[in-house]
Amino acid sequence: MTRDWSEEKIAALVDGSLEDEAEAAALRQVLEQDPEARAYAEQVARANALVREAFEIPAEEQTPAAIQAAIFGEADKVAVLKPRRRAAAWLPASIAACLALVIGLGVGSQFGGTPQRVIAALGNAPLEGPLHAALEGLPSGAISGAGVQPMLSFFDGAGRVCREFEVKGELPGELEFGIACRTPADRWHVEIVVAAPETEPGPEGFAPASGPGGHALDAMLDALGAGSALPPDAESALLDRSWQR
Amino acid sequence: MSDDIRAEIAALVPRLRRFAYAISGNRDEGDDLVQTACLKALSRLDQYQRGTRLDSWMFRIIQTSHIDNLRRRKRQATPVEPELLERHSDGGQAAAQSDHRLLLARTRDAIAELPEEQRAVMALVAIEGYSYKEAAEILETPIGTIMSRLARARAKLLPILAEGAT
Repeated sequence: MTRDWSEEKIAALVDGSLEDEAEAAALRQVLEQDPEARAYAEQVARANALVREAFEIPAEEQTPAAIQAAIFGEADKVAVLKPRRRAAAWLPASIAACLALVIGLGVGSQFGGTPQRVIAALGNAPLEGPLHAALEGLPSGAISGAGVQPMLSFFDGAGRVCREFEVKGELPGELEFGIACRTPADRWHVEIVVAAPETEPGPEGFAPASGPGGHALDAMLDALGAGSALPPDAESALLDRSWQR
Repeated sequence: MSDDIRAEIAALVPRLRRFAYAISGNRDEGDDLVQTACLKALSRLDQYQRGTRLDSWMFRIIQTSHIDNLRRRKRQATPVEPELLERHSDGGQAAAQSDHRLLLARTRDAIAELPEEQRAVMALVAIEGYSYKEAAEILETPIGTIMSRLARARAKLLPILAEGAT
C-alpha cells in the first residue's frame, strides 16, 4: 500500500494546526481508510492528553502567596489570601463595614445565639431569578431591588470568576451569605450559602471573622483556591464584558 | 489600566504555573519562574502592546526567564530534583499507585529528558493547545523549526508512552 501521508501532517491535524482546509479534509479521508495512519493519530492524541494531565496543577490549589504578591505588589497584605480580609484596602468604608459584619455573623452562636446552619451547596442560580440578575449585572456593594448585594469578586483556582454575596434571608432578621462562581455555560453556580441571624456589632466595632459560618466560608474559599479580591476597576471591566476575560 | 492588567495576569496564573512546571520539571521551580515572570511583566508594561495577546507575552517571558536561569546555572552541577528523587525512591509504594499514576510519572520523566527547546514546544502545543503559528510567535522561532522540534520530540515520546497503553 502506498503511504500517502506523513507523520508530521497527521500530528499537525491532531494538533489543530493544519491550516489548509483541503489538505485537512483529504487527510481525514486517509484516516478513515488507513488503519496505520489512524493508529498514529490516536497515539499523538493520547500522548498530548497524557502530557497535559501529567503537569496539571490541582484546580483546588491556591495560587502561592509569592505569586500573588508579585502580581498585586502588596507583599504584607497578599500573604493572606482570603479576599474578605483584604478587601478593606480598597473598598469604601461602608462596604468594608458590611463585609466585617458578614464575617462576624458566626460569633452569635458562640454566645448562645441561634446556631448557624449551612443550607446547601445550591447549584446553578435560576436564570430568571434575582440572584442571577444581581451577580451578573451589579458591581460589588450595590444592592438589587430584591435585596441581593454582591460583596466582592475574585478568581478561583480554576480561573472562574466568583462572587461573594449577601441576601436578606426569608426570616426577619436573618441574612444569607454565599459564594457563586460563573461557569463556562454563563451560569452562576452557588457553591455555598450560609444563613445566620443578624447580629449587632460588638462594643469595639465589628466582630472578627470566626464561628462556624466564617469557617465554612473560609473552607470553601480554600477549596476553590480563591485568589485575592479584584480591585473595582478590574471588576467593572469584567462586568462590561459580561464577565468574559 | 495597571490594575486591569494585574487581574488579567492573575487569571492566567493556573496556566502559567502548568507551563512553568512542564518546562522546568519541578513544581517549586515552576512557581518561582511564574513569580519572576509576573514581576518582570509588571515592570515592563510599557513593552506590552495593548490589543496583543497577554497570554502569549506571559508565556514568552516565562520561557526566556527559564533560559536565563539555565545559562546562569550552566557551570554548576545539576542538582537532583526532589520530585525525581521522590519518584525513584518510592519503590515500596509503587505497587499501591495506580497504573495511570505511574504512567503520568513516566510521562513527566520523558518530557524532562527532552532537550530544552523541544520541551517548550511540546508544552505550548500539547498542554496549552497553541497552534504551531502561535507557538512560533511565542518562542520567536520559524514555524518550520517548531514543526521539526515537535517531530523529534514525538519520535522519542510516543514509543515510551505507547508502552503504557498495553
